[in-house]
Amino acid sequence: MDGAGPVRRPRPARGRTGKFMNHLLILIPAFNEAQTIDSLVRAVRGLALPAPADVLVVDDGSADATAATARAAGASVLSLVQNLGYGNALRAGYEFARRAGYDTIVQLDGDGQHAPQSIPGLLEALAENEADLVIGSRFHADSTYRVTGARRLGQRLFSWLLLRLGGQRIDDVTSGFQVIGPRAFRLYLSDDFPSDYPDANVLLFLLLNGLRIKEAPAEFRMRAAGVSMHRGLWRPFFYIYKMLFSMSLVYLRCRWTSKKEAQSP
Amino acid sequence: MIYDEILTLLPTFQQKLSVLGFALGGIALVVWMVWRRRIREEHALLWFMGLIGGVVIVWCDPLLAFGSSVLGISLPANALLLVAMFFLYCICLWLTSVASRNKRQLERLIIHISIANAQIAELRARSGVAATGESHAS
Repeated sequence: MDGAGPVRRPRPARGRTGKFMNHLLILIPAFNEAQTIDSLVRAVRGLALPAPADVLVVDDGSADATAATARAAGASVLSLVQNLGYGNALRAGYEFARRAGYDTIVQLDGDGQHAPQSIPGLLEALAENEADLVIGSRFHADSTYRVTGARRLGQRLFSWLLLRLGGQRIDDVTSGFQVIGPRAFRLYLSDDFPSDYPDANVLLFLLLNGLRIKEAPAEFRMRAAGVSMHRGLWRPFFYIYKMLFSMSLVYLRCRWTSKKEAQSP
Repeated sequence: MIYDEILTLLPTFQQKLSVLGFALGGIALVVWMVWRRRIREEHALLWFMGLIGGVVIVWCDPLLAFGSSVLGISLPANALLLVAMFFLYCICLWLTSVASRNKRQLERLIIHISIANAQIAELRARSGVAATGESHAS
């Protein structure tokens, strides 16, 4: 790791917003993203952020030069010894962050779809709204990102379910572009964090635990290289099954737990 | 009335001997697999219990007749088949839970190993010791 590597325990720093903000970790899970990771890391490192930040790329067992490219661009790299999937790559990053003492995480995908220039705006939204989680949303007036029919339909279904079960409307329920505050981070570290698709099920878990989630506009770009993890026929079908089942379980577990807590003296 | 009918359809002595032979063969196979360290002792216990339980049910006529009448199945062989299928279903379910738990533990272990690798690499870099072999972190 380089000198600013995230293994060292970060020190608190006073942010530009005037609020006390700890050292940030910018977490980028990446799998075979050698073509995009260099420009992404350089763009993130070039940002003026309200607190000192380290960049950690979690290389999810890539077969290409993702790790070496990210390292050359100035990021710290955590290479998983085997490909574990998107959710587990995030869990590895969270565990790393916990051990190193970070409590605020900025999370964006390694495929370059999330524009780093939106990060300062998301951090402002976290501080100003006193939110626990800020989701970078692609659905806003200035967005040029277009979602295809079936995928948009799925988004609306899960958004509606989240409103019904969690009581809050969130438009972009599948966005991995997030700023995670300390309270949300503690829940993200739990064993219940999904190892494959952490989307609407995680948001429901946060809402039912009383955490505040805000959406803020973010710039999204179309994928320039690599392949989507939702490609093919089987994966979207499995995703819908998994998300419906997972949301039902999250809802029932939280209701069950709150009922038991209410009954206990 | 069904109980009287069931009593006339109980396994013959020859059929009971066949079941006993298959069960003994099954037990021998499980012992051999434990001997070769392909099955752990605690997992073998379930198969021993299933095989011995099957023999007991087949050889104990009143038990098989009573079980068949309770299940409402006039042919005892069919009742035995139903019980055997349920037993196999339970074993499959239990093995699925073992596989799920092992997968979770394996994922956690890989994450811990990867982080440990990263920390070792950093310590090496700080102390100026050259890394040996393939490093997973920088």
